[in-house]
Amino acid sequence: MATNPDKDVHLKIVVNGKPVPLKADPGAQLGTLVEPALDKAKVADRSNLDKWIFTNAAGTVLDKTALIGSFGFQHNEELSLSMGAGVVG
Amino acid sequence: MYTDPAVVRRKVEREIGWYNERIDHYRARGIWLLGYTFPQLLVAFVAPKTRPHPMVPLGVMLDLSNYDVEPPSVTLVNPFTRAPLKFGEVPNGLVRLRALMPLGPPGTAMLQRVQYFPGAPGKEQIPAIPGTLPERLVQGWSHEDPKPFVCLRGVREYHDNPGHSGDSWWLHRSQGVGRLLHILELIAQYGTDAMTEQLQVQTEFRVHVVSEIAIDAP
Repeated sequence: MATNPDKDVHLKIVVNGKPVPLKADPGAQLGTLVEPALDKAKVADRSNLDKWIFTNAAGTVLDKTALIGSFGFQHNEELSLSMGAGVVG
Repeated sequence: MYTDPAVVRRKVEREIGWYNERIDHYRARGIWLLGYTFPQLLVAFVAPKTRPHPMVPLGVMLDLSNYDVEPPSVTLVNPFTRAPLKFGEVPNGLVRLRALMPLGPPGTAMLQRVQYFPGAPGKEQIPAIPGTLPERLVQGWSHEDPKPFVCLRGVREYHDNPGHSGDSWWLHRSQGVGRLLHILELIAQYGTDAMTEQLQVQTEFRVHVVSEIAIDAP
């Protein structure tokens, strides 16, 4: 991912409980952070990338197609990245 | 335990370290780690939104033997006594509403018919919002079932259940769905996060009864 170091947004992505720091281009879609975050968290399985969801501290699910800059994230803001709950019954 | 306990311990304590790193977050979410004696972890869930006071309605005992060759075993317990909860004692059954896919062509409002649970004991109908399907994450045979289980991928009891023999733990292990903090966050999300003012009535009733007993004492 090409980034502009002067404008990068610094985030802390919590992947299944493991916090990983990540720099992000505000002009990129939020969804582009899924793979780099999984890389850093050493999550190997990439078979269901669309099922990973971002939530903010309030638990609100964030739109992965929205631009990162549009969220107005604070420096080192925490976002959670996790798989949706897979219940069967 | 058939795996090397030193390896398992290291994995477990690494995740406890992640918990401690963000302990303010977990404290605010009501996910309180009460005790750790390898390979078991006792966690209490506080309902921070109940009024007038927060409550501690349930806890879980995680057994991490052979983690993560096997996923964590999750037993719902009374957080004060560690006594396992029967199905009928689990406060809200961890209900989630799953959005249903529309049946009609794009742009129409034709929704799937909502399917309710059968009226078996402990599985009474749950009121639903149109277009959603209510699902209990805690499953049991009856109110007296001594071993209700959390029906989630990544939980040992789910993968050990004969009904889920086609959904092996090994299909999901590398996605991290069995990580301790992932499971605890989901229990909080569908359990204690959902408890708000509705619990207040029960709280006040129980406080009233206790007060009467105290007055009768010499």
